[in-house]
Amino acid sequence: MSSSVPYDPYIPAQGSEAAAPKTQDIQNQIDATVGIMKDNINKVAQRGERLESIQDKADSLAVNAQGFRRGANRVRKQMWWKDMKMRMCIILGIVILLIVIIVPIVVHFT
Amino acid sequence: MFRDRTNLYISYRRTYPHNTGQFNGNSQLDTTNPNNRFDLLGEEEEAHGLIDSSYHDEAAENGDAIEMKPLPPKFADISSEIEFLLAEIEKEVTRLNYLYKKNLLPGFNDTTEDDEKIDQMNFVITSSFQKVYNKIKNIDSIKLQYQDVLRPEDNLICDNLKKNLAAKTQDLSKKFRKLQNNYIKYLKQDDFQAPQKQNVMDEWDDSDAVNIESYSKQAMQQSSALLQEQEQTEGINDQLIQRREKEIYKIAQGVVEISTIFKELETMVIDQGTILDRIDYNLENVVVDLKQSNKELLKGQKHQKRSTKCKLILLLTLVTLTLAVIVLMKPRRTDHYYHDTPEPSKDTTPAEEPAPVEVDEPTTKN
Repeated sequence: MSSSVPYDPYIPAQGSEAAAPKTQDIQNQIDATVGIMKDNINKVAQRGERLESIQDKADSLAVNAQGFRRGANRVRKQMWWKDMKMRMCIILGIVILLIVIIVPIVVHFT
Repeated sequence: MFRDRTNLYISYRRTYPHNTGQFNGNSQLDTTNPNNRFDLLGEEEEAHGLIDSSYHDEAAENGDAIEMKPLPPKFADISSEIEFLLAEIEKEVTRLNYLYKKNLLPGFNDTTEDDEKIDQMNFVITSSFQKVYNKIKNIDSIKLQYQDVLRPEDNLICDNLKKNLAAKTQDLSKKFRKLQNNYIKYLKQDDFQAPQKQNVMDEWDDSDAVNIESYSKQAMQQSSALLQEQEQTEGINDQLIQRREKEIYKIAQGVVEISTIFKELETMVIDQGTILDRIDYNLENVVVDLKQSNKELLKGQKHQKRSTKCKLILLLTLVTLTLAVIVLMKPRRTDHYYHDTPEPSKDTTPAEEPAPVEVDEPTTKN
C-alpha cells in the first residue's frame, strides 16, 4: 500500500490519459457511425420516395393493363361476332343459292 | 448497525479499568485516534465475527476476561521501538523535504552533492521503514510463541497494536512517497537533462516498493486503518471513475443513438419492402393481363383475317347466286317465246346486260 500511495496520483493519471484517447477514439467512431447512419437514413428516405413514385406508376400501369386486357377482350369478341356474321351470311347465301338452283329444277321436272 | 456494539464496547472499556502499566502504547493509541479505532472495530466485526462472541463472553464472564496478566511485555518494547523509529523517520523526512525544496529552487549551483545526499536519505528512510515492518512482523511471531498462553482478548490487543503501528507507518510512508513523487514530478517538469538519474531513482523505488508492497498488502488485510487511506485514494480514484463513467455514459448514449437509428432504418426498410411487394404484385398483374390481352388480340386478328376471307366467299356466292338466278330466270322466257335456235344468242345478250352491273359490284365492294 505504501508504494501504491505515491503512485496513486500517478498511475491512474497515466491510465486516464491512456484511457482518454481510447474513449475519445470510441466516441469519434460512434460519431462517425452516427453520421453515416444519418446519411443512410436520408438515402433510404429518398429511396422510399422514389419507390412510392414507382409504386404509383406501377398501380396506374396495372390499371391500364387491366383496361387494355378488357379492351382486347372486347375487340376479340367484336371480331368473333363479325366472323360469325360473315359465316352466317355465307351459309345463308349458299343456302339461298342452293334453293335458287334446286327449286326451279324441281319445279321444272315436276 | 455497528454503532450499538461499539457503544457497548466503549461502555465496557469505561467500566473495566485496564491494568495500564503494560499497555501504555495501546491505550495511548486508543485515545489518540478514537475514530480510527471504531472503524477498526466495525471492520473486525464484519471480517471475523469472532469479536462479537468474544465480547459476549466478556459480558458473561464479567471481569475475568480483562485481566490479561500473561500478556508478554515484549509488545510494549516493540511498540516503543517502533515509535522511536517512526519519530526518526519523521525527522529524516522533514530534512529530506527541506533538501528537496532547496534542490528545487532554480540556481546555477552544482547540485550533485545534494542529490547524493537525497539519495542517501532516501535509502536510510526506506531501510528504516523496512526495519519497522520487520518489527511489526515480529509481533506476529511473538503471538505465535505465546499462542498457548494468550487468550482471544490478548490476540485482539495484539492485532490492534499491530494495526495501529501499521497505520502509523503507513501514514509516514505515504508522506514520504508523496514527497518523493512530487520531487520527481518537479524534476520531470523542470529538468530534461537528467532523465537517466530519475529513472534509476524510479527503479530503485520500484524494487524497494515491491518488498514493502508485499508486506503492506498483508498489513492491509489485517489493519482496517487502511480503509481510510483507501478512502482517501479512492477519493482520487473516484474522480477518475466518475470521469470514466461520464465518458462511458457518453459512449453508451452514442450506442443507444446508433441503435435507435438502426431501428428507424429497419422500420423504413420494412415499409419500403411492403411498397416493393405491392409494386411487384402490380407488375405481375400487368404481365398476366398483357399476356392474356395479347392472346385475345391474336384471336381477334385471326377472326379479322377470316372475316376478310369470308367476305370474299360471300361475294363469290352472291355472284354465283345472281348468275344462277339469271340462268334460271332465262329459260322460262325462252320457253314461252322461242324453242331452240335463238336460245343461246338470247342467253348471252341478257346475261351481258347485268354482267357489268355485277362486275361493278365487286369492285365497289372490294
